[in-house]
Amino acid sequence: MLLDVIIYYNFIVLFYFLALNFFYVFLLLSATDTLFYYKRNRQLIYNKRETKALAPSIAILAPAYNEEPTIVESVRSLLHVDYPELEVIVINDGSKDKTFEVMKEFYKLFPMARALDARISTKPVKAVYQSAVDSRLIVIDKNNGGKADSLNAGINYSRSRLFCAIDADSLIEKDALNRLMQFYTERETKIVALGGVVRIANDCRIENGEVIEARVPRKFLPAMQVMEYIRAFLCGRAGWNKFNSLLIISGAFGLFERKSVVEAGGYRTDTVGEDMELVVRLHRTMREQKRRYKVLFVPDPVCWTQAPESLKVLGRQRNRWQRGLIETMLHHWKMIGNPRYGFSGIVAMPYFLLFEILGPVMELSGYVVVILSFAFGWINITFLILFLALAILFGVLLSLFSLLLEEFTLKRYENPWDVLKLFLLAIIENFGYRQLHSWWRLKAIFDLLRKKKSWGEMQRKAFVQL
Amino acid sequence: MIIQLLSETVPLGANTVLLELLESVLPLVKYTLIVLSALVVILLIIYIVSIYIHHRQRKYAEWKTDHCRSLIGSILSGNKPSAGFRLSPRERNCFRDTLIDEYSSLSISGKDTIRDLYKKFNFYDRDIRLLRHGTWWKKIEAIERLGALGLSEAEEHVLPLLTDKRSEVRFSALRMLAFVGSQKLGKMLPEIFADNRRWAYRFLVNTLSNTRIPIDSLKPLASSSDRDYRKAAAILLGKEGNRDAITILERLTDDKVKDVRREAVRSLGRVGIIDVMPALSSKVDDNNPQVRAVVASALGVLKDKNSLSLLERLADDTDFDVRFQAFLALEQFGQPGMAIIAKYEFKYTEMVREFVSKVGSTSDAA
Repeated sequence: MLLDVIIYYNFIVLFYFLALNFFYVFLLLSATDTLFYYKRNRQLIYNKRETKALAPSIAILAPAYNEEPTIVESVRSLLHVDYPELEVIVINDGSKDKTFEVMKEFYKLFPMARALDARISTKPVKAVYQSAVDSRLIVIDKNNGGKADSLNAGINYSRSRLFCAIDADSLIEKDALNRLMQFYTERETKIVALGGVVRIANDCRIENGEVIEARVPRKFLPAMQVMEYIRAFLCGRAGWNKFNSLLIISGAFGLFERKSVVEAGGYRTDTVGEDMELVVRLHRTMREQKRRYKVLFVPDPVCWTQAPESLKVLGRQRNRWQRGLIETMLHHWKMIGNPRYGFSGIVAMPYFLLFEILGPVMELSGYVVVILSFAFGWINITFLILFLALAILFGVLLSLFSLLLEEFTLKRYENPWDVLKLFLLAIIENFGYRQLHSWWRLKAIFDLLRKKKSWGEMQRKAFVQL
Repeated sequence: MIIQLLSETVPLGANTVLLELLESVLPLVKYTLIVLSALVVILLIIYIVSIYIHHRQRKYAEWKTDHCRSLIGSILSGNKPSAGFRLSPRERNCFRDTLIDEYSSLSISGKDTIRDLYKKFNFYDRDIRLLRHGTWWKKIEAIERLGALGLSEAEEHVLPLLTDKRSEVRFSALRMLAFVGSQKLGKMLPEIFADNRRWAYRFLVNTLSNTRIPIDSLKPLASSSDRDYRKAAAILLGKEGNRDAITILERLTDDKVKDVRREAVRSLGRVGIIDVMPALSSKVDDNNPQVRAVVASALGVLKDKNSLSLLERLADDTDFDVRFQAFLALEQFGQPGMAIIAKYEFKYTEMVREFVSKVGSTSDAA
């Protein structure tokens, strides 16, 4: 009996693995189409002649919690963003360090009054300040309430038509908003949200809040995350974009229609995955209202962020991402497999449930069962080795394809050694890192069952000016 | 090694149907593995070769650009004749792109020389050929190049592309024609709008907003049964001092669609002459807050003292945005406007504080 169960389970793992990789190949092919379309469209502009008279206003919302080492540089980068109608709203979310004091001194903040338009409920706002150095900069000083709460406060105080939610430790490229807006203005359908690409800034050459040269970090963990981010953005998100089923727009860099978000009630504060939850909610609302809409992924506007350099912090981050994903699925379980929600309901939501949430469970249990089966002599060594080789080879192939896509379309890493290093990382990650990653995600499921709600603190380092 | 392993027969713990099934999957796994390994090797080779080629290209591109730039510099300064030298096939595209790069920073005579060179080296003819027979992205590249050099003589070749089946091509053609100030655009307007889907009109209007289009060309749009065409007409008529547009805009301010009314009112504000006051006054009580907000904003642009009483009414509107725009407009009037704002100190405390503190900080800075 036990043997039958184990053998059955081996089959389930095998078919699960095949289905997963079928999905990956499907995503890669559609991502290839999206990226090449984008490449062709992007390289056509010889010089910018766009009129900016009717450019919709954008508010950049940057929640800051204990960001003392990076805040001045980050705000400088935000103020350098080239866009005609811009407000930069930094929300100090009750930082325990000197985040606010540093900003106050550097940007010469003075108290201002600002009447509220939207009134999404948030933790109390202590005061609002404007900068005497640059009048576009507004700082909201409020009690601690988390990232979603801070973004809601920013939405309340913003006066712009669109808002761009970013992490305060991120650097937005100077022309990133203009590039995003090119797609917003050339739309043929209502666009409720747009997402760009997030890349790793560790060890990059940064001058005046701008990344001058992209480099692959020297340290193993951040370098590994470069590979992961390339795969996630260039394969995953570009792939879903083709079917208007992009369910995640990174909290580190996303552009939203303020009115749509206010109508939807702003960000949820009872989840750690507020970025994904909002996008899924927008999909749901638009589908329920039977409106034509798009959530768009634009592969080139780039936002640079600092990647965790220690296992502990990285584990906490991945744990939080996984909990956010599960919470979103729980909030919107009605969409799963429901044709009313189009491709998002029929394909994307079940994909996230089966492969992103159950993925770590299947992967780790698969390792255990296959190894146990081998130990008890129920399967032979050939099966074991072939199975593991297949898993690794598929992983390498997908990563390699993503790297090729990067090389032929966006090409951000110019140093050939950096590019080769990424390939080596694509192989190495299969031996240990991938399993560890699955463990963090599995642990997130247990943490969620134990009702753990913590966000987990990040350690901030100042951007190194090279 | 894997094949060697496969040929070994390891005794199984139990001889069940399931185990046999599992065993039967092995050949499939084996062949998949071989195919995947071959794919990885092929991709790896492509990857390494592409890294090498891209690296070489980048290095060569820098050299080529410098070379082409100095060549163009010599021609422009008269040190080198513009004829009598040949470009290698590898240099041609770089030379062409450098011509375009250099164009914007030159004087009028320099620009003429660049345009002559562009034609002399057959780049113009090649672009025209691409407009007819190229792929959609090659067409756009050609349009962008012709537009960047302001080659208005290409207008007749670009005009048919306004009805191309790819929206990217249509948009690019429109951008180029608007940029070179094509006189034929006006006549094409109904066709342009008819060929594009509902949401695309925003882009079209955005692109055309700097182009002064004859009113006669906009009349059919203004009386169209399609709300988006009327809205587009309302936006495009809003040019400073465009007195002739006032009658049409006044009619559009009574449109049944609020978006059309709003844009017509906004355009009246942009026209910016006192003759628009009656039309604006009549919209102070429009039932839509977006229209009232734009009325307030337009009154602020006109700064006619007679409109203070209207703004005072709008400053007490039930809608936040209308009040805010009225306050902004009142601020433009200086002391008389601020006196009205101060009246609402207890009713709209937050907003009054915002405006008063703004004045305070400005005077501090002064």
